[in-house]
Amino acid sequence: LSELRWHPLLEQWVTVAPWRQDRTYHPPADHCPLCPTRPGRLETEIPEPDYHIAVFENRFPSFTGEQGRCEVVCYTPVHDSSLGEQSVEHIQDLIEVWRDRTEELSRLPNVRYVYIFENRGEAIGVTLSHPHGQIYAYPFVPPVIQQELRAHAQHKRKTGRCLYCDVLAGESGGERTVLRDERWIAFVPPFARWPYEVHLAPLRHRTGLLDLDAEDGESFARLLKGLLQRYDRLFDIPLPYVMAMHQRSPGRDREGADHHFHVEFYPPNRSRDRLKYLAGSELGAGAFIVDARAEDTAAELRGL
Amino acid sequence: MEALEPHVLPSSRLANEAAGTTIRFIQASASPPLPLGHELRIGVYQRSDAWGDLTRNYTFRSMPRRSPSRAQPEPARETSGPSGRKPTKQAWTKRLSKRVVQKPDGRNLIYFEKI
Repeated sequence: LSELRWHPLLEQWVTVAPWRQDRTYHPPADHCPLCPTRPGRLETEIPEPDYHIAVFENRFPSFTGEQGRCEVVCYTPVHDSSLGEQSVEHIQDLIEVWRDRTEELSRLPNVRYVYIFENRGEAIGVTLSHPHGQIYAYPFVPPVIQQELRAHAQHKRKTGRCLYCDVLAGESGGERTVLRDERWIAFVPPFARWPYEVHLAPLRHRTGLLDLDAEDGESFARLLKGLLQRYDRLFDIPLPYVMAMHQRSPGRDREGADHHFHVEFYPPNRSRDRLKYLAGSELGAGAFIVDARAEDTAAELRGL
Repeated sequence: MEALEPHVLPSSRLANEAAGTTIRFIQASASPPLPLGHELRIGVYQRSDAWGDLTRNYTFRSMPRRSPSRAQPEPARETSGPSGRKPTKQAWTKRLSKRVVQKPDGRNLIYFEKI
């Protein structure tokens, strides 16, 4: 099991998992552990010769056993591919997988939060290039989520409204909108901390993946694909990003039960060959400095 | 320089170009140029210090116990969202079947296949 150490100054947990130091690091494509097992080749994490979507417990987990789970979600058996290259229908299937895992992992006794995310690109620190995402079922509510829930609860007490619904109401002008349909919106929030940060959110109050209906799912898949395709067209490179899903916490946390589901994207690039690094102000003081305006980057992404 | 306030020009780069300089544009006013807030709801983008008695982060004493989670999805609320209309809610139609296999080291592997 990992060791959870309390950071008394920041009031948050630090997870110590030394065995992760030995995890697989940039294997060659023909030794990819996330590809299906090809006849006559070494067995990978997935012993069958083909799959549609596969999920397995991480071999080098940060949380396991009674602490929680760490799962790997293999989006496709095709190694040289990406989430944005999948069909809308395939992404809808993937949403169903995310729903299934959210429901099942939320039921584990000690799990306080199920967090679905994807790290893409070496610039983000990805060690396996096969298209995949991850799911962490934490034994605590992570600090960023905690902060969001706190702000949401405070706003709700003050106004009776959902904070994120009010944020979305501020996007009716469309100045920061990248994509939009009847049900979902992709926009650069006015408070973006990364130059090409985008939030993807249901326009109506949905608390999480399990709260989506079939049409929500289709719209989500379509806009997700549209956004990721725009990202790759932005600098004509497979744009690295972190995709972070913020949804309600499992039932035991009353304060988090009403959270507005949304997906946040943080690409580190500020141009084709320049990255924004988290440095002194961001890491040491927690104060983000961003040298781009949301209105400009939204217009740029919208125009692609 | 007042005329070059960032809310007039789309970026500080353009502000620099308009001023004919590559020197970083320095804002005359001490207050930061807030996002175009005229269309944002009052109260959303204002910092409040009234944190009140909000639940703080967990301590060792309040670490998770072995109580079963009540992880049932809440029924969706058909709130009047920002766009106003309330679409008919259609339940999620199952698209995949699920097959769980245990790996030799005890880890679970799940295949999701088209129905």
